[in-house]
Amino acid sequence: MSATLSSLPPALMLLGSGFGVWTLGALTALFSGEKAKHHVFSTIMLLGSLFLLLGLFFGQGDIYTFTLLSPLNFVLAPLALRIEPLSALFLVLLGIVSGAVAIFSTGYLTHFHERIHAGIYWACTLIYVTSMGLVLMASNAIVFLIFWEIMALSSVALVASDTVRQRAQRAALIYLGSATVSGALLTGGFLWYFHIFNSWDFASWQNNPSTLGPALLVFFAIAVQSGLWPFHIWMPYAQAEAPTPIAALMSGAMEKMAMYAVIRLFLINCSDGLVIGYLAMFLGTVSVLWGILFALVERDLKRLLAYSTVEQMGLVVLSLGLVLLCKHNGLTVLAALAFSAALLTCINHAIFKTLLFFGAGSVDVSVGTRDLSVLGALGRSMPITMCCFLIGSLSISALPPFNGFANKWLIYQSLFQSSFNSPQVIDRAMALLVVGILGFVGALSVACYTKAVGICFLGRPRSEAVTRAKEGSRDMVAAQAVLAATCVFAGLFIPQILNMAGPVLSDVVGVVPTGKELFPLPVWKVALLGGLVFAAVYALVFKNSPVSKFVTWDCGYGDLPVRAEETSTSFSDPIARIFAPLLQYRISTEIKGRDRRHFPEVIRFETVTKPILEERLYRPIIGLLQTLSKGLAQLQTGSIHLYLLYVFFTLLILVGIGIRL
Amino acid sequence: MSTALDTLANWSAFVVFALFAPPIMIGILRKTKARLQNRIGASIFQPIFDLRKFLRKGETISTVTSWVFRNTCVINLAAMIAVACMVPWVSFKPPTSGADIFFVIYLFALARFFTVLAALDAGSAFSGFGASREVTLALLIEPAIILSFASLGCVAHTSDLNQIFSFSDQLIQNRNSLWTLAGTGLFIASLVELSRMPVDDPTTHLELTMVHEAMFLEYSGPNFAIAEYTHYLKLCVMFGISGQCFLHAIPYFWGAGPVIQAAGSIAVLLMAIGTIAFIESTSVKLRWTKLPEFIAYSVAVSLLCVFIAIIRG
Repeated sequence: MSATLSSLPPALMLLGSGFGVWTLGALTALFSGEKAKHHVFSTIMLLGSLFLLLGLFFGQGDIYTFTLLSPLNFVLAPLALRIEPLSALFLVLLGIVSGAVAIFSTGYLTHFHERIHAGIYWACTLIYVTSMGLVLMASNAIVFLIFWEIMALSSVALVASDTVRQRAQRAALIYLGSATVSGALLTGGFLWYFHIFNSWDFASWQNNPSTLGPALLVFFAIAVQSGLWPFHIWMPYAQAEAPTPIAALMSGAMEKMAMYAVIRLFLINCSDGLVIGYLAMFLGTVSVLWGILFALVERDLKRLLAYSTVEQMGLVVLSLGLVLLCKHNGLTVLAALAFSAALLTCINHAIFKTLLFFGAGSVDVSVGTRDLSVLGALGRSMPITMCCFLIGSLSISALPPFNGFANKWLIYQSLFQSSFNSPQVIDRAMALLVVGILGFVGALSVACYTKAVGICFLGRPRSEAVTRAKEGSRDMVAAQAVLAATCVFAGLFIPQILNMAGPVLSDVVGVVPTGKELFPLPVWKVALLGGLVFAAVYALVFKNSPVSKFVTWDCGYGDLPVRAEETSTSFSDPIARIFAPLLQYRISTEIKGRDRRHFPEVIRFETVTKPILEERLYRPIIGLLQTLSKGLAQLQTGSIHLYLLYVFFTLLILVGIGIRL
Repeated sequence: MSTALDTLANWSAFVVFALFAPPIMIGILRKTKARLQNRIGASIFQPIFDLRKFLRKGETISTVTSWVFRNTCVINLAAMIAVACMVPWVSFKPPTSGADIFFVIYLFALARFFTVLAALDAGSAFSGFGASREVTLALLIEPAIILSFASLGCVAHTSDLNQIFSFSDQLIQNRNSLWTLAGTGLFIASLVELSRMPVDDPTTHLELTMVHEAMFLEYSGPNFAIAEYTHYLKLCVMFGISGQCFLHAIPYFWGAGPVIQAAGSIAVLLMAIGTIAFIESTSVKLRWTKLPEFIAYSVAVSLLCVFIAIIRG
């Protein structure tokens, strides 16, 4: 035994102990029940992530293939795992996100100890991260599918972990529905692939032109799980109601599993590139627009972040679609550009979305609400949280010099360059129009995140509760500070990060441009120039000018009430009016008073937005399903005679089939 | 040695121009408006005197504000200096690296992000209103700006603005219709982006109708001076770049020497200033609800650019 252990490479040993720690932790949590200590299990989770990251660091660029528990095969295929640069990259993401989540968890969960069952929570969380890791390492479809389902189901359980709130149960149910649909489509697709290739191994699913059917099934399964338009409706429910660490894991890590699957199944095994490519570009573009538009009018901070995840996943899928089209047209260099854009978007989004969710969670814990219309001025009581949230917002709005800018720029560049390199006119026109749409989306996301930061952290407090807010506990702040620092540093070292992704690029697109070739902008110089301007202004101008403080300009009327301040709804109102049909934005005003137009007693002003897809598309479908199942329910009368009759007829049919075959 | 000296001379000429031209251009604009309205008007150097006065004064800030408010103008200034150093808004700007279309547009967005935050920071109803309108206008105008630039770049096969506007890219020579349309689109977009008439009245005294001014209501003293100068510089850069489009549409300038090109750039900047002065003296501010229709012209023009670039690219 010891001989075999010592013959293992150290990287693999570290990786194995990472997963071992997580699995053992899950078992312990299950047995320790409600008395499970949050800090113990968050340490276990952190330890596992550190082992994982260390293992990946030592095993950089290596490829490992191994089969676990070989006598104990899964029924159809062995538990075969494989680590290669692509899966290693996504494992790093998982390690970073789960490590940050582990640091954040204790401080957050102690506020919910009466509502969340600690043992079940930690067991599910550790199973969740372990299964995500195994999804990334699966080398055949059966292993992939099994851990994909475990991942989905454990996260459903986690969404429902708040045992008091009704809304959490409802969200879990909606999410369970979509996870089931995704699982069913994926199973169907994989069975179909097996039918064509007669193998479960991913590596042998290559170069067959007749795989469009299963490819579409699998693509839609991935689209459901990653929340692409029009399958995104579960995201705002699940990610808003899940405890913040889980929301961060879902948005930061789990969505990336779906992106990994797209790369694994469509980019590496490149067949049907054209259809899937156009489909991905279309769904990606619509998701980008739809996600950010709904995020903008959202009042709940976590729902806002969930909708913006739809936008970001749209960006990734859009660039992956472009990779497929470029590969199909033989434009390898352009494919490398688009692919590095997709990878970088995955990496950056994992970092800043986790950060933003932590910010929202801290606000939630500190004030007790996420509703922007009662928040405000939190920057004074939570200065570090505000700083970190601001950095996250700047990154996600793709503003230089933060890390989010680099991936947006790469997407722009790849679209822009295909607007004069693509052979077909249609492709060129499409690329240039998508550039325009992305410009529009960029301005929308600036609007969305200035609203989130400005209404939540700046201005005057909009309610009593805000004045009692306190900075989050030390570990919550630490988790955010680490991620915020990563955003800043990653923004300045983009070429180096791209260089590290080189092996993945060579696996997927076959060419490896250097980081400097991919991202040649002098972000460093501009940041330096900014620093110089700051130093100059402070040294020459601000030093000599006395500052006095006074009330905000109020036209001389005296203290204006806080209600005169801009609110979340009024900030987004002009934009919501423009897109009123899409957002189902309705405004109703009611003025009552004793016929005195200028001195009314009651003024009621209400704005409503409704998610149009849920109203117009999903409600009819669910209604139809309910009617159908009511009809089916009539078969179940509870009469044993009738059931015996069913059994008899089934037997007859089966015998009949048996004879025919 | 002589090339180093040349570079130095070139840079110092550019820095002096970038430092003094924006306030003087505003002075000329105000003077022209005054003459058109039968007033004598202040000297064209008045904006410089005003800036100097503000810089010497003390500053009053609201008790509500945080560090975001105090630093926003500096961030804006830094972003705008970076843009002015990269974008070829006058033909004699020394060459720099990284003048990428998308980089420049996102530097503008960075400035806007902080301006909007600072406006929300004071907790005033007016500045919040201005901020909300600013982001709405920005979102309507952004596709026009990005598509005008991108269609030029698409024909020139590069996203480097210095190369597109260098009077030497053979691919984009003699594409006069494209240049004119892109210039028109950018000019209309600049009117919106710079909050000039008919989108916003820069001289209004009613806070409720302001867009840009409302966001800067709370600023005073040196910070206000920085904000004003940044805005003047932004005005020159944006009108300068749309003017450069028109210059490139005239074949004469392609073969002309650097002196004539420089004279042309300054002349076209003055013409832009004259045009706004004329517009602002003869037209009224549009109602807020009519603005999307006005902006639609700019977007339509940029879509035409895309059409030309794709079909004949």
